[in-house]
Amino acid sequence: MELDELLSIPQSRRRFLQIAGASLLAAGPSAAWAQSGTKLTGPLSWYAFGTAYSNPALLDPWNKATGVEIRETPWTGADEMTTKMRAGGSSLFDTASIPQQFVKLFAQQKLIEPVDLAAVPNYAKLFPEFAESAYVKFDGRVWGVPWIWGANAIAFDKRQIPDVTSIATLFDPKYRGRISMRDDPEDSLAVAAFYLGIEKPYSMTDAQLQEVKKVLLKQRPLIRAYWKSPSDLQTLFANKEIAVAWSQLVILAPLRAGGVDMGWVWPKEGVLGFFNGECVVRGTAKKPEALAFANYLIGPDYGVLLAEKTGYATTSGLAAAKMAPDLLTKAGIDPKRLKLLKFKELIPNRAAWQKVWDEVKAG
Amino acid sequence: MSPANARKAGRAAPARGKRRTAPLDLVLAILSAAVFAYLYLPVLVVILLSFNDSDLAVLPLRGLTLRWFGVLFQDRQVMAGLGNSVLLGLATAAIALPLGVTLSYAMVRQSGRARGALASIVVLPMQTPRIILGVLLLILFSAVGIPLSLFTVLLGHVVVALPFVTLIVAARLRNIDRALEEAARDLGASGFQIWLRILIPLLAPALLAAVLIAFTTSFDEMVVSYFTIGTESTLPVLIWSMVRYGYTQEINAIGALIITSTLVLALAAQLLQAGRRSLRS
Amino acid sequence: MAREACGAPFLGRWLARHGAAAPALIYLALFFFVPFGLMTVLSFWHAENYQLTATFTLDNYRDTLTAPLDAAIFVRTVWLSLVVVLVSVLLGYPVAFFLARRVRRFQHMLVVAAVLPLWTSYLIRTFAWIPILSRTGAVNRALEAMGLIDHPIDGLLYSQFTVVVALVGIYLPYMILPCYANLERLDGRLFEAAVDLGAGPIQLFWHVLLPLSAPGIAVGGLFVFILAMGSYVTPALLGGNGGTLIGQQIAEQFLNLANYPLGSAMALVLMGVILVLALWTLRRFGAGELYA
Repeated sequence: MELDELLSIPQSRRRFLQIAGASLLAAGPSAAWAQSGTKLTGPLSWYAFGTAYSNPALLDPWNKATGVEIRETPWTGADEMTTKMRAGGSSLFDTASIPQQFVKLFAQQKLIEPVDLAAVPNYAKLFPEFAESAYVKFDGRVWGVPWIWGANAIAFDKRQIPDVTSIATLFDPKYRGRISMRDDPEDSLAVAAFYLGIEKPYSMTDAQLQEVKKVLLKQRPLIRAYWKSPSDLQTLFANKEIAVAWSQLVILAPLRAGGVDMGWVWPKEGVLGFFNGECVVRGTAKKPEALAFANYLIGPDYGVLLAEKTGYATTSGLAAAKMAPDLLTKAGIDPKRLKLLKFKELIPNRAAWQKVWDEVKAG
Repeated sequence: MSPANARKAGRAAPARGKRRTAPLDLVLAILSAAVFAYLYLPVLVVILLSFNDSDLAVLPLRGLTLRWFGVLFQDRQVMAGLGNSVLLGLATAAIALPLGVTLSYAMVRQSGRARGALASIVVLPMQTPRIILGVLLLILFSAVGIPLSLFTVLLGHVVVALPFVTLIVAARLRNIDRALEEAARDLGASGFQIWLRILIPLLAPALLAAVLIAFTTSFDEMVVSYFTIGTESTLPVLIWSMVRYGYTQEINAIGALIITSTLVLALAAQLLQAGRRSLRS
Repeated sequence: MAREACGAPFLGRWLARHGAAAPALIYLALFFFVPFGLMTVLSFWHAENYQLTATFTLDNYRDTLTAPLDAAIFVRTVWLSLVVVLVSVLLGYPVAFFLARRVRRFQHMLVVAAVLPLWTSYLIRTFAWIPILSRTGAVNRALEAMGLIDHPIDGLLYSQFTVVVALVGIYLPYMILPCYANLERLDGRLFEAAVDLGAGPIQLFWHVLLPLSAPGIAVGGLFVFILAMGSYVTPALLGGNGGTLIGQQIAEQFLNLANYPLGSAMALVLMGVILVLALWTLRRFGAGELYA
């Protein structure tokens, strides 16, 4: 199913009902193990980025259907995630939600196993942009099931700044002491690169890195505090400590629920895209459960809940079919928008990036 | 004046001194009140926020509600973490107590240099920042290949608790006359009997205090746990995760409950002591 | 019976004298001293891109002590910890004195009240400083309402000031308790005698009270210093751009960057400073207090 097809729903009611009907039949986890016939047992150890921590209701359909307890361990950044995967592997986790740029690396380092698509029937209903993505499909196998995608972009407090369109706002001395950036070179160096008009942030030359460093050093006095985890950022906005920040999507829902009028914008200079692949950790004893869980994540229920509760977008055509058009817009499931994203890539000279960032933070 | 009377006279400030230091006393009293306010200000804020009818931890309160306590008791993760912390606390006390008691016995009954050496060794984990303790254990478990779990956390908690247990028991043991043991031995009692019938009863208050300290040290321990834990959770580690990933008033509700229970326990202990004192007199 | 009484108790006594320490010592050897040895060895190795190489290099130490970034972190940590100790003494000692020598009726209860916060989850209490010190927080609002300031003070939160305020708030009981224990045991006759000899209040304080209080202050100061030097959570939550402290750096090396050698070197340098200070303090002010 194409994204374009989906968005022509309002124009063709019958078409919509056709698609919806077909997808509802293909259903979620229950179908998966009705086919396999094995009984799934918990607990399943899931290494992800904290969605279940802040929204346990997201797993309600899974819990009801399988009763398998999901134990989520959150990671805040790529470094932490890589270290723990290498240190613990399957002794710690059964399944892991890996950012797209790391899937191939982890496969090469033998940290994950290829996905058995027979046990993940919903894969066929993924938007092809993700199902066929070279980030997860290589060497003739699929190594991760894309289940969530989104953008890191600019969040702002509408009570303090009515409108933001450009990345330059993050570097504007007018907002001195009311700006925040992510305490991670993966995001912040790329943001500075966008500001400087550098086309490919993840293939920067040394000279470009030095330019980026200069710009970030100039920005430093304008920063109220750097945020490491989304909760830090949420606290900053909640206490009106900042007006604008480079942000993750996850903080918007709780802030809005708490009465903060938050704005969200993809600045014209560039937006960082990501999607996560659900991967089976090599050596896990819970392979059927891991695969069934991956199937659930791209099933018709999860994606809807995800969009409703967090605003994140699902990769699943099944879930998208169940969503009302305004929910689709809210989650930004729009093919034109996908092309605007610069998906994060592996940084070839990681140590150099870290060094620049350390120097920026030291001031 | 007899020494006892002299002591009493020294402790009770004489009228002459009292008049002179009265303004100073007032200043000290005000300062102490201010310091207590400073110590308890965060406590007050935590309790206030636990009733806040808002997802965000911001003052002033948006409204009063009890719903966070409801969320708390239905939160499976929190209940599991609480259970793990209680279990770990009991296990830590169970292991640290015999280790500490035997060590303190050796320490107190030894002479001079050996005692000094043992004392220095015992105190070392106390002088080591928790982050270094955590890192030490992470290195050990990685090197030997032991997977991280609640068991590895327990091993770390015992290291943290051991010095406290040892010092508490040693303080009391020092006041128990050696002659009692010698006499018992002369009368034919075995080592085991000496412990069971003489030492343990005499040490009872210290043993109780040591168990309490070991339990609470383990229950509160976050940093060491964080480095040695697998995918399970203890309450402090869970709180740390929640603070970083999903900070809601639920955390303040947990805090309010911990504070309240500590206060209640302390009050109960005080009343018990007062009760026992009045019984004796 | 007499025959048995000769052999077994002798063995028992020997075991009791020399064997009693064994279980605890073995435990500490396994889970404290051996890891320390491992850490020392690691500190001379090299790690890059998650690859650990067994070699002998002083790079990690050179980095910690002389590389501008890392050395600055170390110096900043020492400086901040000293400030925390100073403030703790200034606030904690008078309180300890007041409780020990001026309060009679509720003395025990107040001491317990001073120490009680230690068991109320310092994490949650630390986070509570945010709504108190933020731009729109309690303190700023109160100052504005009283007309003392025009706009909110920025530096209350996410600064070194915040870290000091929060750390003192957590560690103060560790200062109050030893000072109290020390002061409580002092014989009032000494002060009586000094007053009889004509000492004024300042002389009383400087020449009698202070020297006598020194062991308590030293032990309390040492405790607080060690705790502050190793603090990791509080500066991470409240420090903002104030600069990282060495505790956070060590955690970062181990958890995020997998650079065990560098992290180990930093940890050992930290330990070295603490041990030197501990030895000096205990020797100068008498170790008796600690074990009494």
